[in-house]
Amino acid sequence: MEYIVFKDVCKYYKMGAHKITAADHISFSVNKGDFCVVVGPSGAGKTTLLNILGGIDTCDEGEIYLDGRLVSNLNKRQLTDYRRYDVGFVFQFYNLVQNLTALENVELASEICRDPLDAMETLKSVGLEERSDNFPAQLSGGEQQRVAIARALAKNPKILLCDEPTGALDYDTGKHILKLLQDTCRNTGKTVIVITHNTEITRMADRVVHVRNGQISAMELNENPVSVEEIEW
Amino acid sequence: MKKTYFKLMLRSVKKTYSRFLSILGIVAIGVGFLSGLLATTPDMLLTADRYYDANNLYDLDIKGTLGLTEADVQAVEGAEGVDTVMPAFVTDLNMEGTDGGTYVSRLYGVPLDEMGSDAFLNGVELVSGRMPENNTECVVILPMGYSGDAAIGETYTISKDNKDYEKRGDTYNVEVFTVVGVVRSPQYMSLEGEPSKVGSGQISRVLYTFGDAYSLEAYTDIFLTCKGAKAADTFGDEYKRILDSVAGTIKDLGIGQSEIRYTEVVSKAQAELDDGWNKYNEAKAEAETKLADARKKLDDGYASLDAAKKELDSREASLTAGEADLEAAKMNLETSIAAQRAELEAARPVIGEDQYAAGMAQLDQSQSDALAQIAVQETALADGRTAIADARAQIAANEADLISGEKEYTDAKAESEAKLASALADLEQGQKDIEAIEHPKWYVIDRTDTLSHAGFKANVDKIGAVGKVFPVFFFLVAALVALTTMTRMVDEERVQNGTLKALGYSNGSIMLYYLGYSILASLIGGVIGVTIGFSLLPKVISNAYAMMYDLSETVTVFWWNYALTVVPIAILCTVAATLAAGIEQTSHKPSVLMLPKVPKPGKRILLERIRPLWRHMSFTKKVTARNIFRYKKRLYMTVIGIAGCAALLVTGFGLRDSIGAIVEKQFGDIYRYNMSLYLEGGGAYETDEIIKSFLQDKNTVENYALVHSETGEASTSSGTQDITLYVPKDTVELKKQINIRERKTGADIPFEDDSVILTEKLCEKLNLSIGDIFTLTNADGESRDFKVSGVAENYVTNFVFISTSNYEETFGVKADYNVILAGIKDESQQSRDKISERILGSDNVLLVQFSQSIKESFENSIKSIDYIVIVLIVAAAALAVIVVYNLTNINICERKKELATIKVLGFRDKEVAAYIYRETSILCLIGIAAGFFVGKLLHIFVIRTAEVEGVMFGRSVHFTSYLFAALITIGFTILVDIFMLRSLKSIDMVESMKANE
Repeated sequence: MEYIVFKDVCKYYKMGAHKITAADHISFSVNKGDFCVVVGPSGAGKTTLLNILGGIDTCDEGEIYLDGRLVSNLNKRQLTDYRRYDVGFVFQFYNLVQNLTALENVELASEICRDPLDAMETLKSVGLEERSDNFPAQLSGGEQQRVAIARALAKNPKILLCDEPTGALDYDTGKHILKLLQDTCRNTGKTVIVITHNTEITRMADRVVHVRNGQISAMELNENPVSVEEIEW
Repeated sequence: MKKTYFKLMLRSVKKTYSRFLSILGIVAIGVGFLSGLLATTPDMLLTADRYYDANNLYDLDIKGTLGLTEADVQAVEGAEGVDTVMPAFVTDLNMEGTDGGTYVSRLYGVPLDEMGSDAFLNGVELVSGRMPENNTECVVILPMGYSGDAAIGETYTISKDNKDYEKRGDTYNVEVFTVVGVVRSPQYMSLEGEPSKVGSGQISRVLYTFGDAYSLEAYTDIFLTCKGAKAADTFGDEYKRILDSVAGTIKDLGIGQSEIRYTEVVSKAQAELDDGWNKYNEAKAEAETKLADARKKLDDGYASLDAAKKELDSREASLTAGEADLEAAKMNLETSIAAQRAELEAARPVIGEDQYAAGMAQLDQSQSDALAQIAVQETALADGRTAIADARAQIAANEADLISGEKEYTDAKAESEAKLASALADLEQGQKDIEAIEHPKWYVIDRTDTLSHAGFKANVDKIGAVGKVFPVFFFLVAALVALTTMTRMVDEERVQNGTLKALGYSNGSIMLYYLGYSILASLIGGVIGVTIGFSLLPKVISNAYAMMYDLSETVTVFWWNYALTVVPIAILCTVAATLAAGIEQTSHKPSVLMLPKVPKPGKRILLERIRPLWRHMSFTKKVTARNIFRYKKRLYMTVIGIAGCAALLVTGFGLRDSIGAIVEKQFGDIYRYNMSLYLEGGGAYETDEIIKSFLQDKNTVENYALVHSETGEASTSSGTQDITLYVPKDTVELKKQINIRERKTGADIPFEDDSVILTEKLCEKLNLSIGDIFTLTNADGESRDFKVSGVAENYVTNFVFISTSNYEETFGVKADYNVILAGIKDESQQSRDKISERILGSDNVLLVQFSQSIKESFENSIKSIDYIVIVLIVAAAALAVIVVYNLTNINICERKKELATIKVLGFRDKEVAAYIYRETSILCLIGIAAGFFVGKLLHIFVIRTAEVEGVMFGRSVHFTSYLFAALITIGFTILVDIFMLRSLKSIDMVESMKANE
């Protein structure tokens, strides 16, 4: 069943006199519960796709559906609600609020939602029960990213969008994070989209979208995705 | 500096113009305020100095106790250091105006036709009308406190109240002066009238006319200017030095001239007296001769009278003898006729009938002839009798004349003797008087001795004191704004700096870039600040002072000394802040700088220890709470800035309250009476029918109190203050007219027979409290010690209240009730006019004052305070706007990523705004609270320095003033918040994707 649908989505940026096409008639779909990896080199337009899907940016042409609802024509206010209730976002640099403890950072998100998960429980689920009272600066990068994931999850969103979640982490920690994301997808049935430039990671995905120059160069379904532990890069 | 590097700096200014402007702005405001306030005092003094110079105000004024002659004038002209000399007649006297009021007036008799020339000193400026053309015309100055309207065409007549009214001709040639113009003069620019020894003791009218309005033979004053004094600043040391030296010369000159004058006056008087003696002697001799002549005449009269009497007696005697003879002759005739008849009868027969008949007829004939002859003689005798009777009557009349002549003589003699005796006494007194003539003395006073000048200097100096406090905020805030701004800038350009360092730029040159940036901003700000400050503030403030001083247009000057102090200080502040901001970064290695800065870690705050409270706070509140304590620099900057804003507003509004309180409290709460009546002493209130009937008129007068009032001094070791002593006839009645209470508690102060109640300002100045001893000197110069029993709330004049019994016992003088404080029922203008007219009909009334009139003129002058309040509001606004803008701007810039993140998380615009603004709001509230506290202190400081002698401003700030201060501060904050909303909305969520800066 197609949960997320991109139909001929285009996005242009104006840089002075130049018009740059960041997304060029992109069409693809993701099923509910999929672990989807969007992969491509820097500047390929991966993040643009994610931003448009996450309601951070708007597309100039085409349609996007989430759970059967057209989200590409939402106005500013509706987009805010969309981000608030439907999307969970995980950033490359975690983007935790420095002045809030781990638990509070999770609460930051859960407090504004209609049907949030318990913040402490969520933190427990990412294995940071012990560090709940620590400030971001007192946590390692991996721990911070786990808090960020917990923050996204606590909102109980329809989709979880992750922008290079391992980009700022070392190899082992990155693996742990990916494992957490994969487990989340498997255990909770959440649809997870991960952006990366690391093609190795595609092996753990249900669905892989290859992006190049603002276009989809290839799309493949992985019948037997492997566990993170088996991947090396 | 390298060209590219310099280019980088200019570009940086362009790119970060809002940051540049915030440093520039705060420096401009701080410098503007400080320089403006610093310049105000010298500007106002300069204005006064030029006003003096423009009107050739005297430097020295010589007053001779025996007058000053032409010879004196010439002597002074010849003295060293003397420039221009102008003799004049000046006296203080009571004048009766057209309105019937008596005004203490100073009458100048000066050569007005020379006005405008260099020879004419103490020039006046015509406000309306024209200058006098002869000695019956005058122009008038109205000290502003007497807001009377001296209309052109009014007349001033020498009042019968003057002590030497009878001898007015000795001094004045003219008795009625018609006002033809209103003038002003630098000599009388103060609200308060100059002191005088006449009447109420304060000059309320100054009249100028020609010298020939005076009949005095010698001048009363010689005004003079000193060489070089005009060029010197009248408030400066140089001027004082010139003045002292010339004053010394003049005083020395005065000793000799005074002796000459003495000899002159004494010899002239002696000559006159000698003349008197001669005249006396002549008159005496003449009178004596006259009397002797009269005596002689009288005596002669008596002698001739006696002679006449004697002659008459002899004539009467002879007459009586004649009568007897005639009677005898008559008898003889009858006898002889009878005998002859008998003979004839006997002879009848003899002679025959014919013979007989013929004989008988002959006999009858001779008998009737003889009888006729006798009758003739009888008639003659009777005539003689009548003549004698007439003569007797004549003599009686002559005798009566003589008696009255005698009386006249006695009277004339007595009169002449009395006259001579009194003339003798006069002459003897004259002799004594001459002997009693004191050696004259010259009093040399200068322009700084006038109340107007001294008061002006003191008051203007106060601005300087006030001015020194306000800018503290601005400099503190300027430094903090520069610190936060530059810190932020240095942080933002961390990587660039790392790169520059890696490229081989030295720490110094990197620092120089930031220093250049901040110096440029503060230099431009400083220049703008001094330019505006110097030209604007002195004008605004002197405008406010116009309520007390009638000055000419304020002169504003660019004071280089201040500019060259204030601007460098401002630059130094920002430079120090910049160094503080940059020093940390330059210590790092380039490699460290090229990595993103480790974010400042979150910290637990005290509030978190209160678990239940913390748990119930939403995360935005938690963030706010932590942020507030996380960035201490910003906390201080904002709190100090907002506190400064609120404090300035509290001070401004409080100033208004305090001065308003004088009207409201003094004339509303404290003075219950609304009319005061100043009388001649000597029990006039009991004897004067007009006053008596007025006081008993229950339809007009509600109640009244009789008070003995005199001026005196109160002193302690802390100093001496002029006071007004009020001794009520009845303390209960007085308390009905004056509310004697404590200020803070409002508690009534009992007024017993042994009470000694002082007003608050007096106690403050003399450092007195209840139970302390002070020395009271009354108008006669008698001093006694008293113990303070109460301190009463009061705002205008220093009062000492004691009871009649206490006064009389202590000073041993009877209280003489000369002031009536009355509550009248109808305070309308119409009613007041009617009462004035009625009361001033009495010769015993010196002055009638209505509280309503004083109140109205006071209320008008309070409006000028609004100027200062407006200046403060503008300054406060600038402070608040800059600080809040800066804080918000930094918060937004620095937390762009955080804000973008929460936007991505689905925060609505309102929630995002609250995320930032809650912090601003809380800091703003803390600032306001601090501002209230500081403002209260500042307010007390300002009113204490601004208070004029004998006046106490209200000490409290109204609740509404705090409210307005808070509302205005909040208003400005909200305004900036609204303005900043745009940049908050424009934050791109894509920012959240970027790496840490």
